[in-house]
Amino acid sequence: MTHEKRYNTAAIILHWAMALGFLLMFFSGVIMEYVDVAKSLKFSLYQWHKSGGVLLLIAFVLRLILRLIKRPPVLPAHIKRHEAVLAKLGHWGLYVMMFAMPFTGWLMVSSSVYGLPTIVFNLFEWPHIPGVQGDKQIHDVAKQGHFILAITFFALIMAHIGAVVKHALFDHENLLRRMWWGKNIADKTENQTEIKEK
Amino acid sequence: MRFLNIIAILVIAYLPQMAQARPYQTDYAQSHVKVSGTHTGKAFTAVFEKWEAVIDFDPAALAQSSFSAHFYPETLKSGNKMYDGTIPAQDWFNVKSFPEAQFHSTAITHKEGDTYHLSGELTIRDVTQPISFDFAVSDLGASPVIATAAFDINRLDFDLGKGSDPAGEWVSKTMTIALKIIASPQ
Repeated sequence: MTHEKRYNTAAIILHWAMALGFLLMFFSGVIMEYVDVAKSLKFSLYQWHKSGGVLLLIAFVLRLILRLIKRPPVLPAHIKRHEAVLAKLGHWGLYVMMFAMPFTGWLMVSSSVYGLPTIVFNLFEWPHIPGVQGDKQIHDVAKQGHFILAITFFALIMAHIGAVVKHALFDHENLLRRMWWGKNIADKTENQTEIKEK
Repeated sequence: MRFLNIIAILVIAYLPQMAQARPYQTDYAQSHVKVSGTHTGKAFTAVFEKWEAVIDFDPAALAQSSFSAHFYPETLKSGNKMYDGTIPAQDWFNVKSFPEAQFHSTAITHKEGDTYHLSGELTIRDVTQPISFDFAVSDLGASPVIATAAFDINRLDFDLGKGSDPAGEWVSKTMTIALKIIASPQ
């Protein structure tokens, strides 16, 4: 019997593209809100941020479908039960964030009194969520939610990276190999645990 | 008595024509109504694709002269998708509730040379404000006649962007409206 050691190519591409995307979104968001930049640059950043959010929402849907139809590789044998449970919780937490972040952003834009459309990278218009335009209450909740989620998401990403570093330093297990291209098939003799993340 | 009645009927029947100045037909393909301003410091200009004007003008009968126009803000286009998507929005022209803006003159006076002064009421959204501006008319004896005007309005006087940008932080408060009307006497 054989096991896949790494994620499939589509999952790897989506993982790293979205990681880069969310990192850029995080920093652009901080600049937009907290750095005193020229109005024209700020406006461009907002439009870029909105466009990026749409792409990340689409990428999330693809990733979720992929995750549901394609089982992830099994975890290495030495991963303890509670670590596997934490990993599972962390991963699903990240999935929730990957949806909630762009969704609250979309809700913010849709309920904004500004009424600005979202023209994704100046190519096509992404519709607003109907029925909420100019609703200050919804806008305020969405804005606060977007902020809290951003901090939570950042903390979860740090924990995600921290777990990879911990296993590399203390368990001498390079988990990054699971999310990069390389030899994919291991046989049963490697004694992998059958902990399923699904 | 019957004779006086006939005179009265004739006067009533012809009174509108007697009170009318000279009506003009606008050539919309050659004419324009433009709105200019700045957004984040960058200039933009939008053009009304649909508007209608009713012109009655006679320099010799200014008291009977008038100018009315209807503008359709949904057709106000700048060529920038972002701006064009925002113009109809609730806090701006709110075209769903107010599909039409209007201007009706209240007085036209001669200023000097080919320049006249027009006073009237401009209605945008549900706000009506008195405005006045100069306009120049060229080739009055010819056909067509060219009338031009440019004047400023404060968008906040008409509640445009009142909720989203009351300080003019992003979009300038001052909007310049430029008219060029090419019209022929009917």
